[in-house]
Amino acid sequence: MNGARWEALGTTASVYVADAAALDAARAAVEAELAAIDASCSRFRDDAELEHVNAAAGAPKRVTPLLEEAITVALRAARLSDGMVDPTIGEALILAGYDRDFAAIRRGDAPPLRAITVPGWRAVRIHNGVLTMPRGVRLDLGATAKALAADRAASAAARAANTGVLVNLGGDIAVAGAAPAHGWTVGIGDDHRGPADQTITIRSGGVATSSTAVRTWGPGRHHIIDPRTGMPTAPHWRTVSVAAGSCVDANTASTAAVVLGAQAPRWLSERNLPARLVAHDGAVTTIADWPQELLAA
Amino acid sequence: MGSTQRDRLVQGVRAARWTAGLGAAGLTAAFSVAAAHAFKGHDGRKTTAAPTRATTTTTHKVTVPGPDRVPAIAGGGALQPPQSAPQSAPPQQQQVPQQQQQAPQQQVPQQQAPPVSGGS
Repeated sequence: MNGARWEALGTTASVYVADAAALDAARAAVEAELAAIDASCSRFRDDAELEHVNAAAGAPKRVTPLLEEAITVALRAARLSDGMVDPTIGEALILAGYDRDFAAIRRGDAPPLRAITVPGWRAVRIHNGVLTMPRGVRLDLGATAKALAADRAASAAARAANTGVLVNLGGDIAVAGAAPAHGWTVGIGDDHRGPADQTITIRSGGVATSSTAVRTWGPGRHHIIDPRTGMPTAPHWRTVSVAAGSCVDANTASTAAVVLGAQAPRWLSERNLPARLVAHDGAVTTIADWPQELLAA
Repeated sequence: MGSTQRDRLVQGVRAARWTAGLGAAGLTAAFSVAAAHAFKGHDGRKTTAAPTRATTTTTHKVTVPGPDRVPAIAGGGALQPPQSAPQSAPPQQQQVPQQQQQAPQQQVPQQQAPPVSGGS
């Protein structure tokens, strides 16, 4: 595959194109989308719009169309995940020690874990570009904004380059445009930096993986918060990968599955979402039409 | 006005008051039943309260309003499965070359390891 890779959004971004001649145009479109999302949705930039919104909680606040879309997508994810993927976990993440860009977190820095009541997504209203949420609510869009960025970037790049495009943002993968003849080859693993444990092909939509094996900063400390407790999720699944009609839906489902724990296989199956779940002991469970692993020749 | 006539008037007033009272009670009951059917409440199942916040540095009171209508977006009604299920692919070279990990920006050559969906 023809592609390019660079650092963005605190992780690795890459773009692949079906037509090699279209790579530069595709990459430019992706970079523009990522820059816009970062300026709007980052929790780690003082000048990001989201930080201004969090600081203004308690009073109605007009937001840009991009942030409105990101918050709307986050609220939809919360509704469709029965509240398991909740954007109001911002304060809980900070208390867990995830209070700065992950690269700046040092193991052992964080204070002891403690439970916190998450306000809940129903506390947030957004209508006609005006956001209202109670004082004390702090939004974190990390669960869905990166996936939204992947979806938006893939669509923008496919339009700009007039070819099939795959965008990978730290393991959140979205494809748009006409896929290569044999589909897009995607590796599946604990860490988006590889190695992959399985290789699959997709032709549309997206694939996302949520893992408690990476982005950790101490025992029991990782970035996936259970909104029911306000603390990092209890260990059950090490990694969950989901294929869906969009990267946002795949990410919503994979994150919800990690939070749901033992209930996840049934929850995913009821939604007919192909998924691969890896328990902490390495046992693999597949759901719906997730393909079986092929052994190397 | 004689005492008999006055007694009849008093009884008439009492009867009217009873009738008005019963009518009001009946209307209240009817409206209550109608309202109960119009606005669904709890389903009667027991729920477990979330753990309360431990000692925290902030004491902001969070007032939670009622649920808001989430604007419809594409596929808003449910999480959408993929149009076509993923397929198996033969395992490929998985290791990302060391050169790529060190270079912040560069082109990924052809016949390269595929993009990996994993945690980040």
